[in-house]
Amino acid sequence: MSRYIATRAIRGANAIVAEADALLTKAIAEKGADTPVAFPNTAYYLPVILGMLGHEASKLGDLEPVIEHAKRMLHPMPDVNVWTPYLGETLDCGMATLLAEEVIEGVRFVYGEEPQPYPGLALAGSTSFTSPDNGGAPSTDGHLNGPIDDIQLRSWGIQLVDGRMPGFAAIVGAAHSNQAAVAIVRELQKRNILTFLVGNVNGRSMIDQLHEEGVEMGYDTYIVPFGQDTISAIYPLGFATRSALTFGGKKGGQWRDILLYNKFRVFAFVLALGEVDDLKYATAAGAISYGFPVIADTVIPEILPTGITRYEHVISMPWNEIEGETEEEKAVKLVQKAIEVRGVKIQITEVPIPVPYGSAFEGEVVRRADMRVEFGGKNSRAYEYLRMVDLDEVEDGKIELIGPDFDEIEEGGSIDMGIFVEVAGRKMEKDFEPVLERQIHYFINGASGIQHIGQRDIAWIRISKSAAEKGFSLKHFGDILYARFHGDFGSIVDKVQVKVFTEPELYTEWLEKAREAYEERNVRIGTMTDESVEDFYSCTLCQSFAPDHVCIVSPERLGLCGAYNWLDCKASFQINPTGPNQPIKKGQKLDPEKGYFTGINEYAVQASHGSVSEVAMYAIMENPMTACGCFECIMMVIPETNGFMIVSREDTSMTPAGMTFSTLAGMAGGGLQTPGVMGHGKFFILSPKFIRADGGLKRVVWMSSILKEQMAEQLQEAAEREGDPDLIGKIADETICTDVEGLLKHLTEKSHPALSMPPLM
Amino acid sequence: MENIILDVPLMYGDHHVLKVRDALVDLEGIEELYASSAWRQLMISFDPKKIKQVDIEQTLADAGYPTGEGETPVLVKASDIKRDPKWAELGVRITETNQADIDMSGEFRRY
Repeated sequence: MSRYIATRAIRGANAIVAEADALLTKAIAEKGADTPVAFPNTAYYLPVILGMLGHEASKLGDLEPVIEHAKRMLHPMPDVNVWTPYLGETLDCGMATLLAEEVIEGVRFVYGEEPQPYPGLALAGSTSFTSPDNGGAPSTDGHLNGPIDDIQLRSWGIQLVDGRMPGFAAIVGAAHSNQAAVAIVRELQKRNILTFLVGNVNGRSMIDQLHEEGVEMGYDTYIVPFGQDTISAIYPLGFATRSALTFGGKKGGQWRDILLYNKFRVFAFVLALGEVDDLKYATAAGAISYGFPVIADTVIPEILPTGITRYEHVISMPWNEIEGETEEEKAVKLVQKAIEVRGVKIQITEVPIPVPYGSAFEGEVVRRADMRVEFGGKNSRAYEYLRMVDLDEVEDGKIELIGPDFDEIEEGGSIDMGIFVEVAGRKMEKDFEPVLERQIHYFINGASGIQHIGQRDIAWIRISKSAAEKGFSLKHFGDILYARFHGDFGSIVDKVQVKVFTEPELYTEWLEKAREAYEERNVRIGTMTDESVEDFYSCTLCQSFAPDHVCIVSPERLGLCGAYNWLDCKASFQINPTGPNQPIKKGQKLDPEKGYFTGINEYAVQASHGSVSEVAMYAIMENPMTACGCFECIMMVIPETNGFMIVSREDTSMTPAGMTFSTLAGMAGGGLQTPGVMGHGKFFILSPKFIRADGGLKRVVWMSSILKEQMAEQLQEAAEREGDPDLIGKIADETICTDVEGLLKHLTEKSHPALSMPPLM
Repeated sequence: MENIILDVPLMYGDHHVLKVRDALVDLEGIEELYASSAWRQLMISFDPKKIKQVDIEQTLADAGYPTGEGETPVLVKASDIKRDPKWAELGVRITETNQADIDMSGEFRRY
């Protein structure tokens, strides 16, 4: 153990706790002890304080015992001559530091100093600051992200658990140069590692460096700029704490379980760039308690033993000593070292194209001003079609561009294009065609500077000027698809060939064939019912995060995350027979209305480790399916209305239940079975089996308007199927009312059917 | 041009660096400024015809960062016999040595 590190971390902890104490005393004197204190859009109060102490701090006065607790965790500095610099004292001080930092951020929110202003910055996806949880404060551009909200945490959940997002890196300080900063984040993006930015060196932060270099930051690009000081490092640690609370089913106060959960399940590390001060040492000591090691690019003492983290705790890798001719080469080595030290598991497929490639680029937006050419949208059309053919009909790796490339098109212009993929494989099935075709969106979007929206014959693709300048051409779509289909679906796809059509006649000919195939698939999927199959599928993908949760996926009930339907699970089982999607024999039908099956119950008991004994597939008031935390929607009974409300995770408004999505999510997630509350995928609402035992769609009295907009046509069809074509108009949303009184008034005026249905309770 | 190094004991974290820079960066006569929270020092190049060192120090003091000797607050002091008083509060503490640490002991244990 390094005496130097212990001394500086303990000194930093003493200083920040004293500072937080003084700041809180001042805030209470100026604002009053009853002044509300909260981070926006989270049900977890101040999450580190909640997780470590089980303390639900909602007012300034609630923070006083937190400071007292932090003081009790402080230690004196090691003596100059006779010293006993144990790691334990340093880690205690690290935790005291985190408590103090969260108190400071809470107080800053009270004073309106968070999120930190940053004029000129537009984030590509950020925390909403318009929620009632935030006092309805208006959202403004020109600020950093502040804490990640529960909505984003949950929507990233599936990626965190399925390995697409293998971990996160908290970067503290500033890189050696702007070029190095860009190179480091690009390396992390290529590996789909979420990058969190905090801190500064001499007033300059990595955020400044990336902003100057025009790197897009925000949720959509996996780069989250939290704040320009080290105190903001509490946000990534709050994110880690909430992962354990959200997906791990841990409760506030279970500090040991939460820290162990992070050590074993959350692959995170800290990159300390530039000089390291007392507060950075102290904060790093806090991060080490979570099992997150620190890799510094300066000369600092190291802590090499294992134990608290799974590998070494502190590593020094001075930038100037890293072997490499260029900043990019050094960045590769630094990132590789960090990955090696933390043991981050990376799934990466090399894609031979002239632009960077990785899931982190999926959310990148190509604005019209930056666009070289587009396919689809207002002035042209684009489609994509994947079909299965016999093995001898495919020449593996053959990529053809039939028609002109976009060189002749004027800048900012558009052209019709079709992407036609043919796959063959011994284990390939016709049913997998739509599953694979849907991947084209994700695969193409992974290229930096390429934007893909939509699917089938409403695809819309943009190529940026910078991608075109780097040599990206239409043939590279084929290279991407060839590499990714082999890399991700190699066990069902043996051969892949791709044709890109821009030649008008062929384009039209294949568009017609594609449309016939789309129609055929619609009919096929439409006729699939739970009765027409022998097996349902399990999805235990989220068990790495929510150990007691299990999803049962049937043809008429997709996974609650919305990412896996029955066909996806079937394909996934073919790809990985020992993976998270296993066929489950339905067994004997015990209750067709509620959806009880012997085989499903037996499986639920085993896979939930005994925490669930029965699952009703089509009911919410009795043994509803559990949820991990990644659900698209939450449904909850509103007893006064004899019906249910459905709130989308994209909706930050208040609901008639008196809670926002974030607060409700605490009741629905973590593998708990709560009658009357259920997480589910949004397309389940359209299913004929949707809460059939409780009255189906006619029981829905309130629904987030975003769901009504996104699924307008399908909802109308479902309403007609239920025998009430005017039903959707009778269902309220947040633009009509957000309280029970208003809801009852609306339902009575519209004669909503739920009011005359048999009592739910 | 004059170069000075000032000790700023309270500048122990980078949030203080932002405040110190905010206080100084627009002062007329300050040419270059490096604020190091790691060393708790300021390195300043300034034009003595436009600004005096004493004015710089006064600006810093007004911003809550007096220069010179001093320390950040240490809330917990060791007892006279150099014991950590927290030990008494925490009771018996058991530490376990990880086998991996024993395996790695020797040349790897540099600190």
